[in-house]
Amino acid sequence: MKSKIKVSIGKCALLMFAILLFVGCKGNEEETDIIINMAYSVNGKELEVEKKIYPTKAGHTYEVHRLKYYLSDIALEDEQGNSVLLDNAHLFDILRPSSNTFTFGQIPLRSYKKLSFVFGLDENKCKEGGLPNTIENNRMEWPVPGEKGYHYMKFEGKYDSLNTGVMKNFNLHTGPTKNNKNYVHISLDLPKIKAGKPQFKITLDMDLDKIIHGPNNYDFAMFGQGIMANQKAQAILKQNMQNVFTIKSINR
Amino acid sequence: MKTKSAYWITPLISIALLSVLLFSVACNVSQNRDMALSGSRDSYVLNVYDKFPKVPLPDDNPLTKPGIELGRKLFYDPILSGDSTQSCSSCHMQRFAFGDESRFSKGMDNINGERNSPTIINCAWQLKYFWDGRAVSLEEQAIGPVENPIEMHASWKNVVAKVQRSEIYPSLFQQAFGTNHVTKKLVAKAIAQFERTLLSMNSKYDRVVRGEDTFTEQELRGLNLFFTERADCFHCHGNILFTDQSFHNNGLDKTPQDTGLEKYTGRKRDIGKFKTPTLRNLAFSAPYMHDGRFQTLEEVIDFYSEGLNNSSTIDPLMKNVKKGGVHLTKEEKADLISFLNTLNDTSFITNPAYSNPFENPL
Repeated sequence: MKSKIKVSIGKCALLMFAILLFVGCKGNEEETDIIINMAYSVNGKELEVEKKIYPTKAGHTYEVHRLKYYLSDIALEDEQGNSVLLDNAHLFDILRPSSNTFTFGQIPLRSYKKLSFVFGLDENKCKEGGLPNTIENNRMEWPVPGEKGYHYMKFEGKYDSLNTGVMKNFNLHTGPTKNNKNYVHISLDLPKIKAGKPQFKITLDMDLDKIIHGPNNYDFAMFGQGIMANQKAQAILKQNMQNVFTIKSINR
Repeated sequence: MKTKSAYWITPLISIALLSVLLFSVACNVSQNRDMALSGSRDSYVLNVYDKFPKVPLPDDNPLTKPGIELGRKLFYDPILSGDSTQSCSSCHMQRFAFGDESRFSKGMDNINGERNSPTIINCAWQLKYFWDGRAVSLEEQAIGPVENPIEMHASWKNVVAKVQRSEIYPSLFQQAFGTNHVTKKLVAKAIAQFERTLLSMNSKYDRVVRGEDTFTEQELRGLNLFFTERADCFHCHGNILFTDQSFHNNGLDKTPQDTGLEKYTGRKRDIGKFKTPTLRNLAFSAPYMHDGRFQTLEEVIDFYSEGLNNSSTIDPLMKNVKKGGVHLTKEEKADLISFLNTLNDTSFITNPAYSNPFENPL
């Protein structure tokens, strides 16, 4: 009897070990940290906030004061087409450097071929309470009665009305105008490179000139200084946002 | 029988061992959570409804009942001033939403201050303090006025000594902070704890948000003006706090005499920028703006409607500055004021928990 109990205890120990091994082990796949870094430029040159005056094809000049925007559903796609979600929604702010570089840990170490994201917020997130209730998200609220949700982007500054020397203010605030889906799906090809350890950094570039000039020329004077209720302006900017982001560099 | 029972021993022992393992893990987690929640039986949790974001509380100054009560006493106690005649509440009066009805508050020596006393409303969420944002915490903010020669005109060394010598305070510090040794830091922490409890979230607007009340037609028209680019108030005064907590030159002057944020940052582009105040409790907190230049809400609305002044540092959000403002009609102005009055919360200015403990002990 004693020997049978000893055998039973031995089997139990093996069983427990097997259970713990199964539970504790996450599989054989290695992991790494992915750093996303956002750089800002205007027509290929580094953005200078409140310092440099930039030209537009419509004949204006403008200077950039503030820019805040959401990228959401940020994900990597591997060679097999599997998607690895990095972030549900991230608020970038050119005046808050810490918001422009962030790290995602424990990302599977694979070869990735695409980085995709939504510029703005889809309808699942762009609704009252759709994002975590933080001070920063509260500041981005889109409180227009009947619309609700969040601003996708607040791009603010001053423009010179046709070289008159008279500066006016512009607020390119995009969002769910009249409940339209003004957000944009963007997918960027990554060069064939396997993610490395201990971290892997992807630097994106946001070219603000493309907000004004690609593929549509945005005319500050045509749409006035506030466009939250102007779906025509929103549609133009939605098209332009397709070309704003590029992959600047990838580093191990 | 004995042989048959042996076959059941393995699975029974396995289940028992697994259960013990899982139970001990869960129990440990539960105990840790309970300890974290209770910590001390004197912990104080702010009662906030879900529209408000999570309160950013400092790790080194958690809210406790003894800490809050100590802070309340210190807030109302003139012991903090040089000649023991002036307290924080001398310039931050509850009946004025913890602001001052005087354009400029008078300090201990009867000298006028340079700016209107800001209100203390929902300041637990604020990121910076004073009109120019020079303090980044309530603890830091509490330190300045004590030694300011045109405010309380004291020295912290003397204040700490007076508080230490008093009959009541050492034991209150013991209860709040576990020491009866008074320091400037602990005085500031206590005041900050009390100020964090000054919550205003029972205005008509709040009740409507919670589904407990409804707006009138006029208030709704005012709301539509406020939250669209027609009156465009919300870009600075939006969200449940009714402030974006940023700094803006809102067009008060062509050449600002008080340079505001620039005094603190030294940057020319910050000239004339001041912190956006909350619009809650405007009925109690006149006069308005950093220098109290407007006595009535009507004057404020007229200013934003036709009275804006352009300058090199005018904020980009002031889209209509070239035209002088948003040009509201007489009816729109009345509608807007009607909406703004839904942000008044009389319970805030009458709450005994915020009142003078030396006159109204709880």
